Amino acid sequence: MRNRILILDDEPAIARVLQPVLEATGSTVLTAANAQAGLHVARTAAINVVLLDLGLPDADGKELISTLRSFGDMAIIVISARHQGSEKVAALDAGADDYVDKPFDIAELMARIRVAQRRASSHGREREQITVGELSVHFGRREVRLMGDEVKLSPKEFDLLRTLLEHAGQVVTHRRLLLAGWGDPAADPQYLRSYIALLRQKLEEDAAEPRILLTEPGVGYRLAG
Amino acid sequence: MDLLGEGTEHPAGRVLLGIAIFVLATGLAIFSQQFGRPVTAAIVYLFGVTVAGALHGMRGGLFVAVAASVIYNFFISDPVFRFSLTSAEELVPLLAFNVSAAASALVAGRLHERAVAAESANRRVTALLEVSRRLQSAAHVNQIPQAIAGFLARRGYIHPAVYLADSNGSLSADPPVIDRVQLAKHLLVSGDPSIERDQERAVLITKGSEPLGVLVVTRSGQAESDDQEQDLDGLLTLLAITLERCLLLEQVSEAELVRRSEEFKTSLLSSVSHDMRTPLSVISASASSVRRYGDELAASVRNDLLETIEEQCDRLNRYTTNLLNLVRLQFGVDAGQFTECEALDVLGAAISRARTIASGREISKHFAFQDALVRADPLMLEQVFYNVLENAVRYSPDVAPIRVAAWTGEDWLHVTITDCGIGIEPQDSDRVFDRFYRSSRATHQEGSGLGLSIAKGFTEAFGGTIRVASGAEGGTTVEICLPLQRTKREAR
Repeated sequence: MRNRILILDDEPAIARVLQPVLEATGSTVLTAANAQAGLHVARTAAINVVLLDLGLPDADGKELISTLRSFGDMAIIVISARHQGSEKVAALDAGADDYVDKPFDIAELMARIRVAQRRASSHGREREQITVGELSVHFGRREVRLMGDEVKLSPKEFDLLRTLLEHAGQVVTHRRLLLAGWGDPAADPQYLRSYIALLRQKLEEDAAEPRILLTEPGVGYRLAG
Repeated sequence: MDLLGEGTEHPAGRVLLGIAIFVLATGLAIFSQQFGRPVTAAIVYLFGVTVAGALHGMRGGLFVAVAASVIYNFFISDPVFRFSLTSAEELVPLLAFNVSAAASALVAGRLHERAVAAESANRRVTALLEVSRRLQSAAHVNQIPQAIAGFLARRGYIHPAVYLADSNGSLSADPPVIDRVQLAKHLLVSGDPSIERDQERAVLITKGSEPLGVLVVTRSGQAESDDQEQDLDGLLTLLAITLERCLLLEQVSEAELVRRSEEFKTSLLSSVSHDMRTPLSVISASASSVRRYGDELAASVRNDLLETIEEQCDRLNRYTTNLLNLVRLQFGVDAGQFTECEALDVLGAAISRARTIASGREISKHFAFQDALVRADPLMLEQVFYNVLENAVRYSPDVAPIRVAAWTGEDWLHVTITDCGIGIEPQDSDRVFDRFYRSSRATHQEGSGLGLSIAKGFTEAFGGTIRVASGAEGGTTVEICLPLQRTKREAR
C-alpha cells in the first residue's frame, strides 16, 4: 500500500524539502501549514502518517493529536524545534507515536515513519510472538529468548519488556512504562530505572552501553528495532 | 491651654502680669477700704489673689495667698497697720484668700502642666510625623541618615548612620567608618538595646525581637528637647518600618531585574532554538536526502534541494548578523565611529538588497529631496532600512507593493516604509520594537523578532526616532526620523 503522508508544518522550507524526497521514495505527500487545513486534509484524504510540528500558528500541536487519532489509524510523528523534553513527553502522552528532533537526518525520519506505520497497520491485532533482532518473545508462554537462550524475567520485568516490544523502534514514555509495570503513571520513576537496569543486566552485552534498551533522556526508553 | 492668652514660652511675662494684677488688686482693695467699703475691698482683693494665683502656678499661688493674707491683715482690714486675729471678721478673709489662691493655683497649675505636656507631646508628634514623612520618601537605606539628621540634631545627636543587619546576623559596612561599624557590631552581638563609647552612641533598630539594623549617632550635647529618649524610641519605631520597607523594595527590584534578565534569556534561547534549528533542520534534511536518495531523485528535485540549502544558509547568516547586532547594542554603540553618510545612497542600497528577498514585488520610491546628510555608521544605517524593509516584505502578501517615501524637513530626514500587510494592533505599536517580539498575527512567519528591535536600537544611537503606525484599512507604516547634518547645497 502506498503511504499517504501529511506534512503539517508552518515552516514552508521543511515541506519543500520533505515532499519531493518522500515522493521519490514512493509516498503520496500532502501538506498543510496550519491546524485547520491539516485537520481537513487528515479527515478527507485517508492519511496514514502525519508529520506534525508542535508549534503551529493556530493551535497547539499536541492538542491536535487526539483529534487526529479519532479520524482512524494513523501514525503521528512529532517534528519540533522545541528541544524541551516536557513538550515531547506531553505530545507522546497525548498519543503521538514518536518524535524526531530538528535538525534531523532524512534516514532517521524514514526509519521512524516505517516503524510507526508498521505499528499503525498492525494496530488491534494481538500478536503471539515478536522477534526483534536477537530478541524473541512468546507472549502466551511468557517466554523470552536471547539468541535462542531462554532468559528468566520477573513478572514486572516481563510486563515492561512487553510494552517496549509492542512499540519496538519507538520511544515509550516513562509514564506509559510506569502504567504498564505498576498500574500508576505517577509511581516513582526510580522503580522504573531500577527495573530497566535489571533488564539490561539480563539482555545487554554491556549494560553501561546498551544496544537494545536505549535511553531517551528526559522522555523514556526505546527498544531498538 | 493658655490662660489669658499668654504664651507659655514667656513665663516671666506671666509672672509679671500676675504681680501687676496682685499689686493692682492690693491698691484697689486699700482704696475701697479707705472709702469704708470693706466688703468690696475683700471681694476685689479676693479676685486679684485668685487671678494672680492662677497665673503663677502652684508655688507662686501659695506665695500669693500668704502674701495676700499678710497684706490684707496688716494694711487693709481693721485695725490697719496691725496684725490681729481677734474676730471671725478677720479670720474669714484670711482663710478665703488662702483657700481660693491655693485652689486656683492648684487648678491653674494642673491646667498649665497639662498644657505644657500637651504642647510638648504635640511638638513631638509633629516632629515624628515630619521625620516619618521624610522617611516615606527614602527608597534606599543610604537615604535614611539625611531624612533623620534634622530630627536628631534638635535632640543632641549628629552624624547619624544606619547599618543594616542581614538575616545571618552580620552588618553592612556601609558607610564604612571603622569605629562606628565596630560599635554597631558590638551592639548587635551584645544584645543590648543601646551602647555608648566616647561620644558615639549605637542604638538597635528592631522589629519584634528581630534586629533590623543599628543607628549610630554622635552626641553633640545641644538638645532642645528634654525627652530625648522618648523621641528616640519613636524614631526607632519609624526606622524599623522604613528599613523593612527599603529591604522589601530592594528585594522587589532585585526580583524584577532577575525576572527581566530571565525573560531575556528565555527569549534568546527560544529564538536561537527556533531560528537556528529550523534552517539547520532544512539544510540537514536536504543534504541527507541528496546523499541518500540522490539517484532516485529527479535532477530538478536535486537542484531544488541544493538551492534550498543555499537559501537556508543565507537565512542563518542573516540571523547570526542580527544576533551579533543585538550583542553590539547590548554593549553600546560607539558614536565616535559615525561618519557623514548620504542617506539616499544608503537607502537605495538597502532597497536593492531587499529586492532580492521580495521576489519581484513592486517597491516604489517617492523621494522629495536631492541629498540628505546624516551622521551615522553607513553599514548600521543600511541595516536599519533593510530590517524595516525586510519586515514589510515578510509581513505583507506576496504581490502587495511596498512604498518607500523620504523627505526632509528643517532639521530632520523622514523616511517612511509602508506595506499592505496584516497591520499592527494599536496596543502592539510599541511592543513591535521589543526584542524577540513577534506579532500574534504572525507567529507562523519566519523571523526572529530581532529586526525591528535592532532598527530601533541603531536609529536611536544615531539620535533619531522610529515609530510604527497601522492604517485603518490594514498595512503598516514605519517612520524613521534622523537628524540632518547641513545639506550639501547649504554647505556650498
